[in-house]
Amino acid sequence: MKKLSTYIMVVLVTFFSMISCEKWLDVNTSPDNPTSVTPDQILPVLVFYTSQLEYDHAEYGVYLSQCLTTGGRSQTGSYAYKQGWEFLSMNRHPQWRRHYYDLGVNIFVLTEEAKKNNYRNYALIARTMRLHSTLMTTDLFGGIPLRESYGHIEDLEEYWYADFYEDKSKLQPVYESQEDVYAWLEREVDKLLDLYEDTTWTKCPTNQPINEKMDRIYQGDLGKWAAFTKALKARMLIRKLPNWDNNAKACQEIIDAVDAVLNDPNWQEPLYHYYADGSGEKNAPWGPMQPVINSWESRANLLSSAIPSRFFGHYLLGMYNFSPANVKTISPKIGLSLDPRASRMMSPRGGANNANQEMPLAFRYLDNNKGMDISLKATNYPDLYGIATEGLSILPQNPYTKDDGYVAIYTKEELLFIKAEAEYWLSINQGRTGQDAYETTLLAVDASMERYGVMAADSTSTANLEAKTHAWFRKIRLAKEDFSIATIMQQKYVAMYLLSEQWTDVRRYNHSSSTNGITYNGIFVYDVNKVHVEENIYKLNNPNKFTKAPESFFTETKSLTRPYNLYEAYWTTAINFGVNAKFSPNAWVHRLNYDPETEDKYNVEQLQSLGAYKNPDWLRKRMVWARKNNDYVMSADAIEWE
Amino acid sequence: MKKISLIIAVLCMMVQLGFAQSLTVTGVVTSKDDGQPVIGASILVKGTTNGTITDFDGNYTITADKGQTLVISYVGMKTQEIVVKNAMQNVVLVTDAEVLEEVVVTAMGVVQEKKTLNFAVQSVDNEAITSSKSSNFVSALQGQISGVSVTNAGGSPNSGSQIIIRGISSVNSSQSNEPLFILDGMPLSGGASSMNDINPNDIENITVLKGAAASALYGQEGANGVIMVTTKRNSSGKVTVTANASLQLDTPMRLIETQMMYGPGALGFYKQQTGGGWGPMLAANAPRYNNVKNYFQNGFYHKYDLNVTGGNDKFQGFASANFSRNDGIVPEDYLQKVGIMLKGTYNISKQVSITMMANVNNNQYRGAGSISSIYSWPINDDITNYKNEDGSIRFRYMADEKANSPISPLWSRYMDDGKNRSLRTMLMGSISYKPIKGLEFTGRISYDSSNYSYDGYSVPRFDDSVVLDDSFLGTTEYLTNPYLTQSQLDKIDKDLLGSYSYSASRSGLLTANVMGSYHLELPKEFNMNFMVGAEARMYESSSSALAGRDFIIPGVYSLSNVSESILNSDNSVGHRQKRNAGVFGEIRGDYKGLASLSVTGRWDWSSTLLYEHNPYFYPSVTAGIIWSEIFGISNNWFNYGKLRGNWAMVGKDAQPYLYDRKFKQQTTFPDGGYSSNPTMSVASSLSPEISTSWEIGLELKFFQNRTRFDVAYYSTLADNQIVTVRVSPSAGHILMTRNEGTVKNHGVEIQFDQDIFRKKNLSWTVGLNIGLNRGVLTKLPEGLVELQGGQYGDIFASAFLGGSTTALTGKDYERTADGQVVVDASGYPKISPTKSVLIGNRESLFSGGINTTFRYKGFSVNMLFDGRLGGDIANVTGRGLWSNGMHKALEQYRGRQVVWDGVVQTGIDEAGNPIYEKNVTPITLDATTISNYYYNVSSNFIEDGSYIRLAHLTLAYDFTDLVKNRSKLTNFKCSLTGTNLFLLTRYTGSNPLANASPSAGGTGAAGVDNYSVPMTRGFNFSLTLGF
Repeated sequence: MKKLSTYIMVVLVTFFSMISCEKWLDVNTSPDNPTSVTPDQILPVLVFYTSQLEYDHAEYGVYLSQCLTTGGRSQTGSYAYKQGWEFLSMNRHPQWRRHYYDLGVNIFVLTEEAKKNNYRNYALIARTMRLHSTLMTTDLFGGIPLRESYGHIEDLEEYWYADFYEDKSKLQPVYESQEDVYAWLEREVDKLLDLYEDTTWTKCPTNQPINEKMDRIYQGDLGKWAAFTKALKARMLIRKLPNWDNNAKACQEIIDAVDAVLNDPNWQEPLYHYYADGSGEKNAPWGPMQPVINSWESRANLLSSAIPSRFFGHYLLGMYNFSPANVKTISPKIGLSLDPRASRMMSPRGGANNANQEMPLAFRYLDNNKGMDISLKATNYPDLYGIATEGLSILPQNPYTKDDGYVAIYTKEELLFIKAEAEYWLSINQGRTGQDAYETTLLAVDASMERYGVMAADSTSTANLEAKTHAWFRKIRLAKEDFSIATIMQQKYVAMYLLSEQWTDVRRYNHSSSTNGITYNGIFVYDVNKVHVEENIYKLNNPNKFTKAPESFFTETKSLTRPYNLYEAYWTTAINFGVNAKFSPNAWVHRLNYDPETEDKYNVEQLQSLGAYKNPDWLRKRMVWARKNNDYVMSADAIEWE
Repeated sequence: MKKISLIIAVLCMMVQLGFAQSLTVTGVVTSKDDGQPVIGASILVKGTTNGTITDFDGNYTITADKGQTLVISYVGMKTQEIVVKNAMQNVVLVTDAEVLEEVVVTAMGVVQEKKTLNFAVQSVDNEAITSSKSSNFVSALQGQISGVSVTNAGGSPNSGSQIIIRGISSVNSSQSNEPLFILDGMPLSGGASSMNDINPNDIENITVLKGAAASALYGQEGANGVIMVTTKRNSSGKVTVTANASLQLDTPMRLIETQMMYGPGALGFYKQQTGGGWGPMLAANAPRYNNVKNYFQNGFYHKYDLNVTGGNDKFQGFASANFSRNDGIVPEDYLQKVGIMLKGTYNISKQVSITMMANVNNNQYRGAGSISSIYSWPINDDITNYKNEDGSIRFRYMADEKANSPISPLWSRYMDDGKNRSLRTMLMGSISYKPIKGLEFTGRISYDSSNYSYDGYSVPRFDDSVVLDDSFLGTTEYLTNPYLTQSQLDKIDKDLLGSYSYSASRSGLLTANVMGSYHLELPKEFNMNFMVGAEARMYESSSSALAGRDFIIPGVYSLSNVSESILNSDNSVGHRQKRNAGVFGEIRGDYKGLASLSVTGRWDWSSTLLYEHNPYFYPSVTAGIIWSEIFGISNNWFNYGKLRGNWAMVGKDAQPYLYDRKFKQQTTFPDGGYSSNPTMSVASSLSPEISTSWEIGLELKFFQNRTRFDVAYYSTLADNQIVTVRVSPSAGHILMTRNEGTVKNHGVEIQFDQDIFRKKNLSWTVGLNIGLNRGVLTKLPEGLVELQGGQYGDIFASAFLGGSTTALTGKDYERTADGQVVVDASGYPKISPTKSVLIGNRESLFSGGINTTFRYKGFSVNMLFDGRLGGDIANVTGRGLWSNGMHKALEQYRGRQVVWDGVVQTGIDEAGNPIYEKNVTPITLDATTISNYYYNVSSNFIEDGSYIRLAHLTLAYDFTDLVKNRSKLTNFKCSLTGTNLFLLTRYTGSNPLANASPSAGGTGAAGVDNYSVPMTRGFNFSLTLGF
């Protein structure tokens, strides 16, 4: 019995000693997750997210700029940007999370780790990615949290030499105005360019070499990252045109910024390539494999069910359908559009698979959100990956829509179009007609044609339809006598297909078109005046195979128009946006709403102070760079401007 | 060690043991009320520890000297003392009106007279538990205990269930609101669903401790109440064997009817590559199939039990074994169970006794899977036709994206396989030491472990042994064969080429506690009880998974036969660990049991909180007075009156692993690497969630205790809630766990029992219980109006500030101040741009049940009605039917002109207020209108969940008296039970008790019907034999 009592006492003592032991309770670190990470492990993720950010913006933008549409006609649904613009129910715009979390948090963690090891090269690259991401994010949402966002570092150099970092992040950070964000961006880009010139940073002995596995874009080459930073400065400055700060000085500053890039021997387009033999994801996000990362917040490209819009396909690219009577026996891929890039961007396809209704290959198009005919399927519209061409040799594909293609974070043609636009407005500001803008536009278009592998223009060619089509295109679309800001912006629109700047440009010019009556320097920027040649266009080796562009090419009003079937509660009743729907500049979506799942709940006060809280009118509010600030812009319905 | 071996040997050999004791005194103990034997009455030789209890027939044998006094006692009956005069002495016990029938097992296993308890406690016995024939005893509690709500995921044998007592106390989705389950003093892991592993036939009694005061000693695990399960006890006496078999036929009830007029298509046109019913009206003679009905089958449930009990004054043992198989109404949905329970008590000496218990269950099952596709299957296609004559898969059509070609869900049910296996082992050992009178030490150690594995495959939908040329695309041949082109193969989800997966997990909860208690009798019938104890709890689990896809050799479904094996994303291992410790104590005193007061306190330590927040302390105080006795006002018709009250606090800790930022390996990214893991929040400064509650109760008894009434009011405030919420990514997190918010629950519980007859051969009792709870989320951080739980399209289960903790939010129409829908001039309703409008409350106004038992000699009838008034249900299934053009109402409304019930603004009055008039403008209810103006508005799918149900009706006959003199049978009963025989509800879906996710914590998913398997109606025949 004594023995038993002893046992009980031992058990009791063991218990009490156990529960007083802090170590016994110290089991709250997960054995399955690392709690720290090294810079070389985090950098490849950041570089990837930078390309993904570009894709995310472009994936929304290509529908919002009404370049593509879908076969449905729904007012509501999971993807408001493809449907009736019912954004207030839509959660998780990936761009927001990408900037603050995927890039923002990880850039901060990388910078902290880099500072511990004095890896200054990592810090510079990370900081450049933050500059790029901040610019894109503010241009999508307007005012955003900056200084009170997690891990914000006001000045990299100051942070690097300080012993102490003051974390000013808050759970409900203040939203800073877009003007303030731009002021910081301008300081930041200049500061970064200074640091890229500073050899104590670029040649720091403790810098850790960076290889292609860590940096797929520039392999850690700081000279190239510096040139990219200069390009970002040019992209930032072009926002001043045509509304915000449209004067000769600003124009010259933009031209100088572009020249600084083009004259930099280190300049190389920042392209994120996908390799078939790479590890992890091998397929480009715009490719036919439709890869998607972290499915809960990302969007796969749905080009398999997307359709070129009337504005993009029919008006800008000059695509059209053959009449069935003429063309049962021919299946050309080239020659069905004025713009030779159309055949590289996509492939025409046949009609409904029905013996009585057989239709030939055609570049079909569809009005935005109008809904396709019940007899048609998405597969009757062009293959936007550009691969399914029945019985035809496959042309070099769109480099963006190949599985082993790339994401272009910046292109040469964008730089040239920025310069052309600045040169155009410089000449306007100086009251002269300038040749330089036209010449630069031709270079920009050439760069775009080259990207798509289009053959050089040759109006005399009898053997090569593409060369001849190219010549027709230049004659119609790049005629010097018709040159205007419309030429530049329309060609940039085509060149920016599947790139983020396309929608930014459309918003910068306030969807200027005869539809809403907004002109710049008296010009409807997104009205197409000449769509095609008024002659037989397919008359090469076989004189029996020809047709003529449809009559509609020469009679329709060819203007950018709002989509059909917009969500009625926000977009179609006059009370929502003014007395004159057609001409109101407020009738378009200009920005994305803040995420209803997070910002609507956790930062209500800030949203209310902005007027963004559950307010569909917020979607109509223009960016700081799209507000009327000079007389170059005129509206048919000026009362409704603000 | 030797002694333990001896116990085990005795348990194993129990059946063979005979117990031949030299008998000095024998006799039968019977009840004066009904003349029936009293089973388990205690016989003690006064002044000694020599004692025994009566057997199943009320017999006892005991050695005693002439002239010694036998003390015969039984719960609820007056204790009798008789002097030993001869060898045969029968005893008749009478009901004790003062003591009444109640002693209950309360927190930490302390047995207490109910009259000294000052909190709400309700018990149900084995008969009440088993009469419903539920395989999970928790389901049997619905309607029997006031303030308890049991919901379920549907009519599958594998559907989980959830039990909530007195509402939701934590709105955090990672915090469970289910009570703690205690099996014979042993804490179990898991909620109601995991109680499926306890055989209802092994249960003697269930006690529900509802309030925080009742469970304060259990610490945070008991913050949501405690359900104490006491299994059938060991008994001494001759060996008895009881066998039971039951057979049950289950049929689907309240099947959802779909429209039977329209074929597949869009906008009224027939379209080959669609499902649903938005196509044209079918010709009158076109074939139609009721696919929903045809998909289901009748279910069959059979169960066999055998238990043995026996022992002597040194050893008492109980052993049981059971086997059951339950085939559900969904094809190939089954649950097969084998369970064994062994329990033994060994009295080592007068002071020391040891009890050991082992409960082992082995389950094999396959779930019902998703049934959503049956509701969109077009009516002109037979869902049961899932394969071609040659045995190959039948595609309903071949889609442009061939991988999207639909097949009948029955193909997967019959051709794929997935075996879940689980082994649950519950082990417990306790030792009791009573060194001196009144002083007792108890030590208990228990281990509840689960081992689970899944082994399954899906057979290939497509064959990659042949790769087509692109020229096949779109051809007739292409449309009829299972082959793909190279580009399609590259892109296809490889699972469609067959897949195999295996996963395994294990978990274990080890609990150890020691306790010392001392009972002190003071002069003038004052009593004092002191108790101190300590407890340590350790939980650990781990899981792993493997998968592969694209089988190489046709017909061989193995992980060694896959061409794409074990991708990084298929390969996972997870661990979880948590430790808690606590010390606790209680001081309890009473005067004659008529006035009592107790105080408890507990300090808890938790591994999930920073050490500076440990320990956290919470106390409780309870008091009660039996005023009918104190003031001497009881009489012939009024027998008993008691007022009780309590106040208590309980703390709750957080989930594990919230201290650190975690990084995730991005193996699927082009160059791999690590990045911050957005789903793992950082919360290193959490303090415990604290609930404070008080309760007041009144107990009354009338007419010789034939009429019993108990009413309680309670109020609980759960403050400092630990919630995991989405925050702005700009704050550096996607999810964050933090302390915020307050939840208040208050309510009333009424229990009313009436013995209408109480004769020897005739009895009829009726019990009524009603519970009503109001759960309100009273506080959230500034600006925050709701905490969302599960999302079902646009409908959210939600806790809404100032509103219910179990609300529903979603989209609604614009409405006038008096709630009328605002319609525009064209006749179309206006939809509010706000996404999270409060559109429903899943909490009922009240719920309750009526349980009645009628007995006449061997015949008995038992019925349980349960129901509730109010309590909204989100009919997500119904919403899907509207979306797919399959809702029954479309037969009447589709294509018709309707006038929307609403008002149109016609102007503004002088005060600037809008003027409305009744809408009279008709609109056409076509697919587009339904999509834009009906389907997309969540509030259209919120329905009243009120119901009344005849949960079960059991007719039983006890043949024992007829046969016991003619055979060796000591027990012979038959019963016929019908379940869900009657249901009256306005809810249009299948199951008003639906819970879309019983395992969901926080606001939960009770009241959300998301394609649940329809509830079933069962007919059960049961036979019990005893030897």
